Amino acid sequence: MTQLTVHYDARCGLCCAARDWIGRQRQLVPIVCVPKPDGRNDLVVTADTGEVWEGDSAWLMVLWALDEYRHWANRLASPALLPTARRMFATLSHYRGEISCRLGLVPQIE
Amino acid sequence: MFVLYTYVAYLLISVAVTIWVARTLHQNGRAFLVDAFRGQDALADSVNHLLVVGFYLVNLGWIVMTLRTYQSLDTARSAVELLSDKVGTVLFVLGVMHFFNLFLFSRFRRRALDRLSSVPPILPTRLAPSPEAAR
Repeated sequence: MTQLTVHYDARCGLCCAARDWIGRQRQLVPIVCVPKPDGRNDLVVTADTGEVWEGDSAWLMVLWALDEYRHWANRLASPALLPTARRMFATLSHYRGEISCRLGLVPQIE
Repeated sequence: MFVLYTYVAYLLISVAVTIWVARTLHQNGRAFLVDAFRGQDALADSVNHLLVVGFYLVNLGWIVMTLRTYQSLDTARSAVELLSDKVGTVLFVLGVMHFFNLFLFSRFRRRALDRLSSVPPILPTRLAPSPEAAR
């Protein structure tokens, strides 16, 4: 695996802020962020080797690709923490519109 | 006189044990750190040295701070008991500090191993024949 492509929701301010944040991090696996062409809700991560991660698994893969957060991704993916992590990511994803509004994050095209 | 002898014995024993533990940590922790810092010997040596300096400061500070006693020492027995109490506390603190350092070493190493690993932490949701098809 030499590259991950993150398909994010470009209409969401939080997602655009996350995209910018990913761009500032040191990456162990290079990440390319592209806006999703369709109106699908879930975050999708694809690897150049053909694997696809959707939703909460995609969040974990993004963390895993970042130098500072790989340790956290491995920890959150452990059987003890995975259910909580999945709920946390699902909640964050579900309320991303509201969170964007409250934090005043507006979608910005790259 | 018992008080003075107790103080001297306490300082000698505590400082000697601190030096022994710090040297053990310094010598045996190096391998962990070299591994954690991907063979960068200079960086590993530097972190190792800094950890040992911190270890000395905390322990010697503790030893000096807990030297004083308000107990009157009239017999050899009470002197030995007080010495035992104080040295025991120092050994306990040294043990806690030693395990804390081991925890730091193992965390450094685990993080290094995490970086080297190329196995994703979670199975893919599905497989696509090519990245284009996944979109």
